[in-house]
Amino acid sequence: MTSGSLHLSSPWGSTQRVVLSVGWTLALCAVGFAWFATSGEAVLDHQVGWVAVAAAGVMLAGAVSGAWLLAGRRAVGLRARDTLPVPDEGQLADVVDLRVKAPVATATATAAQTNGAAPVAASGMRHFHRLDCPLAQGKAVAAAALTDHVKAGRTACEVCQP
Amino acid sequence: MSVMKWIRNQWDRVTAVGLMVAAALAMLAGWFGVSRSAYPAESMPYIVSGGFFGLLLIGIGAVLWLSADLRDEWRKLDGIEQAWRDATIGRPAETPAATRTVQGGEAARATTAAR
Repeated sequence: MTSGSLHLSSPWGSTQRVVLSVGWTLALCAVGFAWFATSGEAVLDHQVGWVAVAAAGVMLAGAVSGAWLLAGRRAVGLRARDTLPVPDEGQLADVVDLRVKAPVATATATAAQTNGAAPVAASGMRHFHRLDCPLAQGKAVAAAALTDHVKAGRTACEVCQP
Repeated sequence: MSVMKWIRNQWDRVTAVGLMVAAALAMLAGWFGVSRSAYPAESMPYIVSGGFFGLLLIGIGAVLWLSADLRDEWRKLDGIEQAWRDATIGRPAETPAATRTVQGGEAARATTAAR
């Protein structure tokens, strides 16, 4: 332990250790006693109750073990959340900016390539739109003359009415 | 590193493997016992001693192994926090992130200790 004087040496406290120890001990005792009891019974009906005792012991062990692991996982998670450095707002802004820059740059390039006044459409589209039409956003549209769109079988969008 | 030192360091994983092996042996013994029993009442003790006991040992072994993983994470956080503290010692003014980290570490300790 590098800082044992400041921290608990493990994610668990003494109460959790006691609960786990008692649970496991009871479970082992239950299974052992059930084994002893079933060995002394010759009638199957009389053995079934002891088998239930053994099953209860296994379930008890499972319960305390699950609680132990969940408590440990939670303690580690809480400490990691508080210990590991969190990027400040400036660093976060850089990360977000990097993610946003690419789509923004693409959209800008697309807008620069297209003529703002000419209606736009992408291949396979049945309508042509204004460049700022919401139905054209996020699509690889290209501007063309109105007659070209009509020749391609497209009609005017009823939303933006180019 | 000598074997004994390694075993002392990895006592939980070594114990977990030992329990898994013991569980496999118990289940094998139970299976042999049941297969040689002619009557259900005769096979029941083997089911309890081999089956349930083996199941219990597997569970305990798995918990020990997973606990070892959690302890490793805990030690890693110890190292990170210590390095962070060493890096900030002697500075006239701590960065906000460093201050938040130290305070957060104390909060985590308090949370853990309260349990």
